[in-house]
Amino acid sequence: MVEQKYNSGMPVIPDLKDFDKSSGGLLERIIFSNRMVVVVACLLATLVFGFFATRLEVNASFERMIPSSSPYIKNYLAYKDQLPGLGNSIRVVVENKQGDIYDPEYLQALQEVNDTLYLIPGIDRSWMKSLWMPIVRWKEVTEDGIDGGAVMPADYDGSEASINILRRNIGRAGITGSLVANDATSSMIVAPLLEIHPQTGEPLNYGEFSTLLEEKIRSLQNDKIGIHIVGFSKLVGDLIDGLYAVMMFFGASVLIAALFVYFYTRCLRSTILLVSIAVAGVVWLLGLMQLLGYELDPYSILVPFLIFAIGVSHGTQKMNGILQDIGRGTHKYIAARYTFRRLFLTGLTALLCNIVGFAVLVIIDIPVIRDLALTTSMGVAVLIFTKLLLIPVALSYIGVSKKAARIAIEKDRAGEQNRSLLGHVWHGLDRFTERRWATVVIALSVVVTVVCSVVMLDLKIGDLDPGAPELRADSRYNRDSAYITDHYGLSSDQFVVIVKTKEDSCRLYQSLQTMDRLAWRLRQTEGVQTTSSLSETVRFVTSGMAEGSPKWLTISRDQAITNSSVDAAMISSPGITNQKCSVTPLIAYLADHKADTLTRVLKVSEEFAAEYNTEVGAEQPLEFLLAAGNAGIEAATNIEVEKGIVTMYLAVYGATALLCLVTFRSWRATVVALIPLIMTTIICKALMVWLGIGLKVATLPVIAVGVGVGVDYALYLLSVQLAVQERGGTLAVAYRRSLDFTGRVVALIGLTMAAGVVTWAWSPIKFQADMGILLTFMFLWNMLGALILIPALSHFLLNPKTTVTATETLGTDDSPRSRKQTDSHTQAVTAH
Amino acid sequence: MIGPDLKISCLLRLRPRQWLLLRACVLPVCTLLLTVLPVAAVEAAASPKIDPLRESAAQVALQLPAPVIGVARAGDDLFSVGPHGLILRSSDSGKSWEQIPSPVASDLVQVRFRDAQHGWIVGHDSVLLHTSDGGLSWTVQLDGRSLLKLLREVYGQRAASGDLVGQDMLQEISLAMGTSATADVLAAPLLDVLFDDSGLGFVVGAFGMILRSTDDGATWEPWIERTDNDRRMHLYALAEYQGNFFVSGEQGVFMHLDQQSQHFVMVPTPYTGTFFGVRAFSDLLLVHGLRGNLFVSRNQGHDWQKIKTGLKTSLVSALEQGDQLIVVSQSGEMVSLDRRTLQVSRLQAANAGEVYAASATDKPGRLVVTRFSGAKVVEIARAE
Repeated sequence: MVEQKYNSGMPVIPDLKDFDKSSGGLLERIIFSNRMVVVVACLLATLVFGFFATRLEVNASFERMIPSSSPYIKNYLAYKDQLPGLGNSIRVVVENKQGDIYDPEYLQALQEVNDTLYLIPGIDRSWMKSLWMPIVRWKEVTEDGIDGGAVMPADYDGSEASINILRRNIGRAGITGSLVANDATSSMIVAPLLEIHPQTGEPLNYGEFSTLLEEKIRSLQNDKIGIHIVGFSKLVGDLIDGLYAVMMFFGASVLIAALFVYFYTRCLRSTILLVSIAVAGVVWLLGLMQLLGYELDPYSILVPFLIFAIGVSHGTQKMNGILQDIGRGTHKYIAARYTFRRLFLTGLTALLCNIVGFAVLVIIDIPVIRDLALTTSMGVAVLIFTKLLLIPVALSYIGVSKKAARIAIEKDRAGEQNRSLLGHVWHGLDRFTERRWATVVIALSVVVTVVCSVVMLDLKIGDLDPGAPELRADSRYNRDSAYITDHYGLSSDQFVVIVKTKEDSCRLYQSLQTMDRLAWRLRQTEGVQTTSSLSETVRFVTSGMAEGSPKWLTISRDQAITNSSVDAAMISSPGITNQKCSVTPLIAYLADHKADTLTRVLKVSEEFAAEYNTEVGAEQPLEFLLAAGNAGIEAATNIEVEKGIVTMYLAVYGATALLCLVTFRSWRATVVALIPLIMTTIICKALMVWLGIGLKVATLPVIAVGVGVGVDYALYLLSVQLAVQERGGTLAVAYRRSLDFTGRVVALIGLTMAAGVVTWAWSPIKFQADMGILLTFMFLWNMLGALILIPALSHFLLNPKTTVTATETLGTDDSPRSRKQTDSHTQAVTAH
Repeated sequence: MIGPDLKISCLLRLRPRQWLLLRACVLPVCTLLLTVLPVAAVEAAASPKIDPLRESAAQVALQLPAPVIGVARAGDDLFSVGPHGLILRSSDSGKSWEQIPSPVASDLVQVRFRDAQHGWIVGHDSVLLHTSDGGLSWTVQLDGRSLLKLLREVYGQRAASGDLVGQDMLQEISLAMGTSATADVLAAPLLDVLFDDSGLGFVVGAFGMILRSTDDGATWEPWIERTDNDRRMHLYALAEYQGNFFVSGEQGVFMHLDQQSQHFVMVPTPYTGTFFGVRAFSDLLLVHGLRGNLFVSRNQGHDWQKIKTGLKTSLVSALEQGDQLIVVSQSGEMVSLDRRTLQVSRLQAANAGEVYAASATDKPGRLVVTRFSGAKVVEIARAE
């Protein structure tokens, strides 16, 4: 009886000779009569793809993380080359941990750092500033004009006297808060970077540059001297380092998944086989990515994890049947063919569903998410070959260990007879089909969903922590950044409005006055700490040219005065406008980059632009274009993410619903399949609120992936359940059958998928950690939701009145005859 | 490496001479200079969207820092003014401020009250505002448009009657207008204003601008040529004691109103640097300027005595505090000067960064200083 049930209507054939090799479909016959060809081809492919995979480049491009079609980002991309000095410099703070900067030992250490940095290729030496660079000068208004000199006295000798001169010069130069910390315990070296490596002539490689900084500059710190480094290039370098760390996690994921598989199969042979084939799938994918011109970036590096997890979990499904078959004495070759026959179409459908789930992400117009969608879909497509073809073929050669096969049979009997605790719980699941339990479950779900829906409303868009949001708050980079914010009062959140004029027209009174009006409005906006722009600098320069009189802190309507102020400003602060005086940045330094702050600043700037941008064809065009700067880009990204989430929900749920409808041909079943997913989505959003994770580029795809993978569970469980019900089985019987047949696989898929992504939680890159936590949650909760909610919902939605009485009789009591009918139908369903 | 800074200081040193050329001469070199400088100014005037003279000041959020430049007492109240037409009033000795509507959005630089009711504010674009209700409402008495019209009328009439001075002045005006970004606005700022009890008063400004009024500012008469300031130096400050008016300005300019000739005559001082301020008392005349320079005279400017303040930066204000005068420097340092003994003692610095001006309040020992980050209350304390 049991045998019949588990071999799903396929006869036990211990000897190969008794097997009709011409049975099964055409594809099965082709593949199994050319087993060697399949194995060799896959091996070869693995080698070839492996070769290309090793040449895959690792990079972290910020431009790929931003929505390139957003009008704001288009502005940024159009003018970024003309906005020099926006972030493309490196700041090294040298701290005296045992005193202040007026210490000969400290100054000597600073000089060493200064000189070492000076020699690192990529530093724009002519504009490097520090206490040791003669470019940093003090100025003083005198009766004859302005007197000045280098801050570091030319005859500095470390003596008390020369240090006192330095102290006075620092005061006169007014560099406290910029080059010298407010508390004078550290000073800063600011070095702009060259775009092009001076020796190789190639674009500066931030990864290498950052490594050089660590090796040559950071190594100079000791008990007395502290070094803090920030800057765009350092950030990119740290992200790339983070990528290498994450690669190491892949090993951990493989190990955890292998453990799960081993505990499930108890067969070392097949565990190794499954894991290696899943790894081979990843190798194919990486090779393909290289061939198609993709790079590994902080997002795409997550794809191999997903593909591995899907590969292992779906591969394990194969083991289910094969273990039973071999356990009952079927020959391994025949068992492999049975498995292929049983699961090829189901597997194909499931994988295609996954592809759809991932592919809909393409509609989100952010390059990294598109890449994620395409590469993951590609990876799943690869799995069709490795998983659906290679695994059965390989198993037909190596089979499974006899012991594992025996255990599999025993375990099932044990579960059937409720002997173990797990078996008890397992068996208890079908109680959720009863009215009492179903009502309890539904009531609880409603409560949880309502609570979470309320909490969910607090979900914030964007990044919520201070510092560089890509990295963790306690990362080296963010600690350095916090140190600099604390000691220099310099915010790292810059919102930049691009002011576009005709060539040489940035100097016009009208341009400056309008620019100044915006700066004034922004300064009056909550969350803006200060602003900096040509117009404000012109005020100070004009005052400076009038012997420092505060009465001249103005933008003079006298164009001659304003012209000379603009000229002086362009000379003293390069980057304050472009060389042609046509693209001028207006920088607002923000207190934080919370979505509310960004929205407020964006709104003020947008309204101003609408009011003051000149009309097309104006003689003196003046346009305020949003936005650049990290905060500006984040503001634009937030807008796209907010729009994207709605589109994404529609697309993902639309696609999933359609898929379910096609598969089940029943709207009731579709509702039963979707409700657990919707609930998980809501709980996931509430979880984000509780964990302080914002909705952003990184967390946007999580829900799509979670839903795309989560629907698998429903597909497996419901297809069997519906089939049994159709044959007249009661709901309880049908669900019991469904659990016996696929429940264990559902649980295993949930666990291995979670194992694949849970390691991200330890990634040094913060958004990967956020994705890891949320995906783990989604994979596990979707599994639980499917196992618990599907029976409960089925009670109300998929429980025809005629069979209600039958539910009182539990599944184990029904007659062998009906069971056999059911089983053969189940087989028919899963194979069709 | 020293390039950029060197160039700036060159530019700055050149500046007075450059401006001098622009303002005074009619040599071909001027025309050359004018054509060399991009004079896109005229184009810009075609469709100006922002004209601070035609807009009232925007309301600001007072909890956020907004720069203020000038500050003055009006009875028990304090008024302070700043860029973007900002006018603020405090009724609690400078602790809290409220914004008062301003008819213009131009940058305001100085506020003066004759008594609790009557006050004036000057600023850029030749703005002069007046109040007669204790500062609650302000009206425009002069601006860059009306002043230009006035100058052209007055000097035009004189030129038409064959007066050479009138012709020269007209030429001077058209030269100045050549660089104005708005064709009908005289751009230069007015820098100080002062009235006596009889309603006689003067307003002074950049490039030697000076006008006189005898009716609390209702009508004005240009006095540019009635001074010894032939070089058209900026006139920064006014002082008056019992009908005696004094003007101080750029590059050692210090003048006194000669009642007989009705002409401002140069008073020699031992200093050639700029005097940013002047104070006149019964027993004391005081001028202060660049680099901590402070000079006093006991006899209306005949003899001068240099006071060693020990301060290194420009002195922005000198204000009365009992028998003492508190002298405040731009870097926020303060000394007190005994009016009788001329003894200087150092006070604790205001520690507020750069200070633009200072005023006494109704509370003894308490000052208000203006800064880029707004007005700040400073309690006077002797530095030891």
